[in-house]
Amino acid sequence: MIISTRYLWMITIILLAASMTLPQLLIDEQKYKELELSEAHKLLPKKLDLLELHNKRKGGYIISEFMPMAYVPEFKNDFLVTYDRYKMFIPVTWYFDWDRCGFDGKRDLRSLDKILECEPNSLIVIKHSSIPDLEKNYPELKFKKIKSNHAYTVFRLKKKI
Amino acid sequence: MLGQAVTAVVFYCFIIGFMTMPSKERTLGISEFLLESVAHSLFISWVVVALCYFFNLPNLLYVLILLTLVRLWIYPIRYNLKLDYKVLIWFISLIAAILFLYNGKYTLTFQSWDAVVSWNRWAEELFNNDLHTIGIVYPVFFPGFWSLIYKAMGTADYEIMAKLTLFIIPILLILSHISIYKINKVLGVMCSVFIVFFFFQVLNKPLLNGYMDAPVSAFIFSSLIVLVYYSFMDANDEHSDFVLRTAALIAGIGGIVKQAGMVVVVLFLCYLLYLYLTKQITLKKFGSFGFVVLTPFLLFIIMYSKFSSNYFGNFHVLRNLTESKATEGIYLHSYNQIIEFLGYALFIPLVALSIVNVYFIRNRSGFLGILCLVFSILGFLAYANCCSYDFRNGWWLIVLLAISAMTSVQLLFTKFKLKL
Repeated sequence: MIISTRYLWMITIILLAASMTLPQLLIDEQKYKELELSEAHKLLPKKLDLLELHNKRKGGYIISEFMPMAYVPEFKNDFLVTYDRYKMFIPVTWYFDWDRCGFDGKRDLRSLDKILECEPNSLIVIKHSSIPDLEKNYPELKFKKIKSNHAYTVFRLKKKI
Repeated sequence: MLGQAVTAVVFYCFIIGFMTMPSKERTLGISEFLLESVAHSLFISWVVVALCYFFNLPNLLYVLILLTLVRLWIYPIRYNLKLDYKVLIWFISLIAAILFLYNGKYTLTFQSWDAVVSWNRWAEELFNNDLHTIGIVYPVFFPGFWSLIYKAMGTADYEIMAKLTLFIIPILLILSHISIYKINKVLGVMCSVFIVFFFFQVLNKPLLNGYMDAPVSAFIFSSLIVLVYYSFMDANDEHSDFVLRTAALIAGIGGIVKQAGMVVVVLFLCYLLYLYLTKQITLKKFGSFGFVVLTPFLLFIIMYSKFSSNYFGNFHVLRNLTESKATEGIYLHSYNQIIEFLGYALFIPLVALSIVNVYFIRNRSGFLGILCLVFSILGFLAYANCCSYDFRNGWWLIVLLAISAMTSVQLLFTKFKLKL
């Protein structure tokens, strides 16, 4: 069978019109957004209830070496990453609220003490194997374990009295 | 928002290419038409990404739709499409195979480390007409492509539609080899088997998880298999120039999927030079196809030069990483990785068959087979030195070796007049 493409412009218009209108008729946009959000939450380590903990604490940064967490929508303004085994910390995302603690761009490395001065409610989500590094780097801080799973522990931080 | 997103996916994957497709009257199969549309569309989409970045342009979807329609109206594409039912059934069964293989394994959004923190982040940066790639030469074809979808949606917060565009890779793999069945059944079957087992079975997850190692291998495979198709065509075939141009378009895009893609750009240029020197193409064609294959890379380098001047990137970091993993020496380590992946039962026949191409070196298909073998050896040296800390960086070496072996099998079948 031979088909001519002479009227391809008509097929193109029909195709584009269908792709423009059909999704809106067939899919509920609100449900689609919810689906996106629930998929994004799959980036979080399991069984730590990080979203709940973060909401309860009303503010405070989430601090971790597990960078994909920075892209969970609820953490986009609140995530700090470490590249040097829990010595210094920096924001990573495009969306970060730079003004909140006066961060001066993505090269503004901060120590934990400084972060805690501004956001005392911050949480650390750390791999079990990295805990000795954190303790060695910050002997003056007290780490209160909040929750853990097979790979990560969530700590709350306080200065030792 | 959803309507715009779906329109952008359909438009940038299949339709925008119509703007630059030649209108010359000819008859071709529907799979060839689709392949040319996809190849042109990906190419033009990249040009749009670069223009948006250079001139800080917003969403151009509607302007481009209008331009495409005007082009189709004023200069209609006068093709006669042959609907071959055998090809259609084959195409549908391969699509069904993909859906079957990905059932339950495909994640709707980006969830793997590099996909989230690098590739999709660069897409978000390009959505804002900004790009940094941590000051290292990381080609950004897919981030750029996703940024077009984000721009159409007006937000980079929703990833499902952008990630869906990765399905263009299995579609390209299928389309690029289906035409081969018309002239070489043996080669067609070998390609299908390789695509199903290597890409859809072994590289099942990495092909669509947002990492670029499997996609770059897929682009290398697609462009080379179209080139192999060209090499087996009758030199006087009126379609041969179109096929060569399609190969150039796919190779050009492959060059900016990830660094390894540059291999196929250089290989293509070498083959083009061979065709010119043996007077199989004119200087004009050599120049125009060379320009096509180099354009995506040149645009990317101009983009990159706007924010960084470090063209050697993190080579020393990767080298240190490789050395720390390769306790037995980098070359032996890399060789062991290949053997571990393929096993001697596959590796030895692949190498042996690739070497058989030497016998056919005077034939343009044999020369292409040799070229693939030479580039797989050079590629192995480069891979061993910089990237053998993880074998995913070397999947494309298997592709080069496989293409070379397939070419020699087809040549042997032709020589001894064997048939399937």
